[in-house]
Amino acid sequence: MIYSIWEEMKQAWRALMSNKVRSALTMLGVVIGIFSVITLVTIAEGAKNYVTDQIKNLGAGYDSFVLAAGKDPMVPPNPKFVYADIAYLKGQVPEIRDIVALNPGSGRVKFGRSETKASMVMGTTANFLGLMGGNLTQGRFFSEAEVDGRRRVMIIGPTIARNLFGESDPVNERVKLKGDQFLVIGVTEPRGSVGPLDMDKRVIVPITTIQNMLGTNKIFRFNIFPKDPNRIAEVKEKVTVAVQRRIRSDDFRFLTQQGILNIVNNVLAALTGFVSGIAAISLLVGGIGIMNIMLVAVNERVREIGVRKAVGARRRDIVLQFLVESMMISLLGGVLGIILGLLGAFLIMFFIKGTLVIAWWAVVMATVVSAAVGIFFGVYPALRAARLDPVAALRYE
Amino acid sequence: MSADGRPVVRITDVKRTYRMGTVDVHALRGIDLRIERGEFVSIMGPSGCGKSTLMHILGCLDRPSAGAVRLDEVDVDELDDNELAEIRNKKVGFVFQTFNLLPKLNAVENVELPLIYAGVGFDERREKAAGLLESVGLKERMYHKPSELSGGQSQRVAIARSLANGPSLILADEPTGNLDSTSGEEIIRLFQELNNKGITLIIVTHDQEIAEHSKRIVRLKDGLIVADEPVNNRRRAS
Repeated sequence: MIYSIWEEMKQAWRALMSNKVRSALTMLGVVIGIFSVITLVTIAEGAKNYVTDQIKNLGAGYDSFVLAAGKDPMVPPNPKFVYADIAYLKGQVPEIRDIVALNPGSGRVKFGRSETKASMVMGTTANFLGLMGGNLTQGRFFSEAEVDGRRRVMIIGPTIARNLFGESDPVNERVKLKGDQFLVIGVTEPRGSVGPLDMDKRVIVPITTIQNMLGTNKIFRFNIFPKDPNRIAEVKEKVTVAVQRRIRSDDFRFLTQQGILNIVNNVLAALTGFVSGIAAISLLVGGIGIMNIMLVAVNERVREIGVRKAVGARRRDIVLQFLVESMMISLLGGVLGIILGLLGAFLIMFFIKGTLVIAWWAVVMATVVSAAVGIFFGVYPALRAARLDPVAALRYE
Repeated sequence: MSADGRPVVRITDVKRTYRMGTVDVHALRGIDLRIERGEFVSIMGPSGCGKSTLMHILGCLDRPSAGAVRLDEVDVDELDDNELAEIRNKKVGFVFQTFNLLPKLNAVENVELPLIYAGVGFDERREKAAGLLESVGLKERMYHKPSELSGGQSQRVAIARSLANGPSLILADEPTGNLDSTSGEEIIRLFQELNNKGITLIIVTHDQEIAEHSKRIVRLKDGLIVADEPVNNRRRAS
């Protein structure tokens, strides 16, 4: 059986090669179907990896979660959190190891005649560096005393340092931000971009200082670090109760790595489903095309079938011959689709600077599906061929 | 008559009726025929006398509507389609008027075809097919496609193919019908040589001269055998 399949494959290959244009056109439906699925799945897989990597940088790592002001992320928040809530939450929920407060803002940093474009200015607490990762290449981070004292000190990203100071040391230089004078005390290490945010153009100042500048005492978000990272869900619940009691409102939300991943996965799943639907239609049409061409091939080869039967081909030999041929068309289309799909995904990933992650399960599945399409749509033509009466087939002109 | 006395073909009261629209056509109306091992029989008759139908039934390509067919001591009527295919593969070799070589395969691959269906592996198959082509004088044409062969050469490839599995019986349907007289003569000579080696041959022809090269002539008319006699002054193909 295995041996005869190999024989049939050699013959099928010759049959396909003797009709190259027709074979190629017949494959097209399968090529397009498999191509679109492979491209999308590969991009989705890359996107998932990318997002997982970046979530940590955004501050919702596996060991923490974000408590943010505002229930609806689409509506600008009206925060009710204040600095004292850090101590309050730690008191109410003893499972909390530490809390980092974060307030976002933006502004231009000026040094002498140089000025940056609008940079992300982040106000935070003194424990930021230790908990949220990252290192300084020069200088130091601000201390708790400096936060309490609302000191105008700042840590700048490496791009800002280079743009404003060139090769010279920015530490202990004085710069201006929104008209106020700040002392540069440190430079962060290069980290690249997180989505649209360039971490290397970031400015970090004490959260109290930015509150002062903006004339508010409110805080936009807390990054909460439980003592046991496996108990994020439990800590989240306790925090919910404590916050509701404190601000007498539920105008807040949580961001967890799992939550963000779920959203990303949902979007990707919807997209994958949509493209899979299109691909299924394409495969269906491709399969019908294969069936059509195989029926033509059977009609063209009636005499050949007669001869084969006369020299001893059984029905199953004829069935196998045509099934192998239709499977080969479809499989070749599938393989071509996989190659083009991976190439397409590679190009897209190249342009959006992502890493190509090949989803091997999808490659295997595409191979199996394309072979199955060929077999499924080849059955009817193959049976028609096998059922031909040898005498009539030999007489056929 | 062969030594063991067991006939290669024994058919009894074979009838074959076709339905053409609403009319029944009686192609064979009760044929009895016994052919011994080593015979060389010509079946003759005018068009429509049923000789092709008889050949298809002898070759297990078709089944009779009534009557018994025994081929090499096997009751063919009792076999299913797969078993018939196996008989065609192993016990019968066909030679056709139009050669019926597969145009995409070269000569040796055409000869290998019955061996593929017999499950013979590549090396053995190629060796055997090459040997058969050599025995019909076409060794140097082994890798030529049918389109590159003359009619006589094509028919010799077809004969080599019919011999591939060492059949009990070669059936040839107007084997010289598409050939010029020289090539036809060559084919008949090849048949006589094969017969001299003990191979049983049945050829269907309407050409008296061709028939006189065989050992026995069976004449059909309107689906019945009207004459069955040995050839007295047998011709030798030059």
